[in-house]
Formats: sequence, structure tokens, C-alpha cells
Amino acid sequence: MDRLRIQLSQASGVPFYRQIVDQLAGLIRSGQLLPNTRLPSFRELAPQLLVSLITVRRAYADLEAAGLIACRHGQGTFVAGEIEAASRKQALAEARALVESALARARQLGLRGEALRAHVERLIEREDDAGARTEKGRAHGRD
Amino acid sequence: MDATDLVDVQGLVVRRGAFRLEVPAWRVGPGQVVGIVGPNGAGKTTLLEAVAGLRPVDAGSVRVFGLDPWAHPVEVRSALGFMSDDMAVFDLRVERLLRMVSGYYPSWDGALARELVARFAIDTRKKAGALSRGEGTRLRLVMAMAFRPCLLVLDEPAAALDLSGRRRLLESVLEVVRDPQRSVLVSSHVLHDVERVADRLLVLHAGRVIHEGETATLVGEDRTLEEAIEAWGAA
Repeated sequence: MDRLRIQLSQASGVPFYRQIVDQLAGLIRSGQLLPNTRLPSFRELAPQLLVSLITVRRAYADLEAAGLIACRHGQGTFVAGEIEAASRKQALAEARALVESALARARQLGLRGEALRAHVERLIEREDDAGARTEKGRAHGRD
Repeated sequence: MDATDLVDVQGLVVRRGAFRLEVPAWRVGPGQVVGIVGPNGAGKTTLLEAVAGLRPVDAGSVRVFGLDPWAHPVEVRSALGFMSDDMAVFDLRVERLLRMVSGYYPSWDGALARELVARFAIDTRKKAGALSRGEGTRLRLVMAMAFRPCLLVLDEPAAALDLSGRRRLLESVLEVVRDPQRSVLVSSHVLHDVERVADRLLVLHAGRVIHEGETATLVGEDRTLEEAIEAWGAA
């Protein structure tokens, strides 16, 4: 396993466990550490960062409480697998809410029933075509 | 005593001339780094020597791995690595010295010894007596660590080390406790190093224990160990 890219600063005045939590959370949220990536145990990470075991253990406990990492008994510590699923679920919920409010507004403006459905389907087809053209363009651009 | 405790001190009194060290109760479990801090004359060396079986006690008891280290020096020291700058070493070439010392310990790990020698940048062709003070410290650290002792006892290991030597020391100390059965006791004046790696602290002042506990709990987040020690009147 590569060393985690964590840099601790004694001069910052921020407690070490806090710096570890913030930097690991950043690596996970930005996708630099993918779900299910195995993390070093707290006993392995301590000599890499030159901080006490208790400091790393505390940081891991905070990250676990935040749902970012999971300690699987006997197997080690991993980046939580549900992060992708959870953020995807959240994105879908947002998208659904946007569509719902657009539909409600369209109905208010008098577009309903079959006409509304036909409009929405046409819009979706046009979006799909545009998407396909972009893909094709990209493929050509690579040649 | 908990069967897993590596060190168990009860009602300890050690006299050294006019000086008297008293430690009512202190235990060290496995898998941790314990910092022993306090000013000169606090009793740090006296305590560590009593734990290592290098000094008899006047009252109370010290048990290491469940044994009295003064009465059972062979059993205790075959699994206890002690390091102090005052420890004498034979004036041999470093490579010969290490080969000789390796014979004292069935558990000597030659690969680890070579790794530590490289890490601490020791010139093995030099004679031990020709080493600088810092090199001598680093050699003594290798000798105390290379047989993978269950308990590593370091008395002021940082006194003669520069910044890079100190970082390698901290790294080596933390690598010892990658094994949850092993522990390290380390006394030091370099308080921010101790604060950085010690899970627990024993704070001594004039022969008395003034604090013992988890480092983060004792020191707190809004001050450094140095500031805490000043506040406790133990500077």
C-alpha cells in the first residue's frame, strides 16, 4: 500500500488527530481514496506520521463516526463502501425533486396529459441525441 | 496485577543519598508508549533503572513480566532493552561489537539490526570509542532494539541527537508498538517529541508522581505539554 498523503504541521496549532481527520476526509471525499480501499491500521500509520497510537486511533474513531471509514473486525480498516451509493442516492433525490417541480409548474401553465408527456419525451430524445453527438465528436477528436 | 501488565510498581521507594523516589502505584500495559517527564532530579533515571533491574529498591515492589527484575536479571533483561548514554560499550569496531552482542540474545534479529544501522546512519567500520556522542547514542539504540525486546526502556535517548536522529528515534519507537504485545518507556527533555508519540505520561517532580494518565487528557488541546508542565509547577 502506498503511503497516505498526509502532512502534519506542529506549528499550525491544530491538534494532530484533527489534521489527520481533515486530510483523510479530504482524500476520501475528493475520490483520491476510493471506497473499499484498505487503510493502514492505526499501529501502521503511527510510525509513518510520527504520532502516538492514541492520536491515530482517535482520528479513525472520528472518521468512523462520520461514516467515512469502516473497521471490519479481523480484516482491517477500509474507506466506507456506501459513500458512492449515498452520494448517488442524494443526487438522484435532488434530480427527482427538480423534475417534479418542473412538471408541477408546466401543469400550472396549462400543459397536461398526453401533450405534456409528448413534450417531455421529445426533450429527452433531443438530450440523448445531443449526448450521442458529443460522444461521437469526442471519438473523432481523439483520432 | 493484570496478567497482561508488563510493569507493575507498588509502594515503591528508592533512596539515593538524600534523594528519595516514591511511586505509590504505576502499571504499564502492552502495546503503548509511555513518556516519563520531569525536570533534572525528578527521579526519571532512578525509576527506569529500578524497572530495568539495575538498582535495588528500598521498599515496595517492582514487577516486570511478573518478575522482580533485581532478583531475576537474566529472565527480565532477555526481553527488556535498556538504553542510556551512560551505558558503557566495548571499544570494538561497530560491526564486530554488534556481532558479539547478538550472541547474548537468542532473539537477536540480524535483519532488523542492519535496518536500524542503516536508518541511524552508523558507520560500522568505526570503532565504538571513536564515535561522536550522537553516533554513540544511535549505536546504543540499535543494541537495545535489535533483539526485539518486549519492553524497551530509553533513558534520555534524544539528548545527543539532532533533528533527523530524533525523527528516526520516534519512528523506531512507534515501530516497536506496531506489535500490540510490546511497550516502550521513554524519558526525555524534548517535550514536544514525547507529547507527539506517548500514549500515556508519568510526570515526576522531586521524587514524586504528580500526574499519570493519557497524554491527551493530561495535556488538553489548548496547551502544549511544556505549558502543562509549567502549570503543574513541575518545570
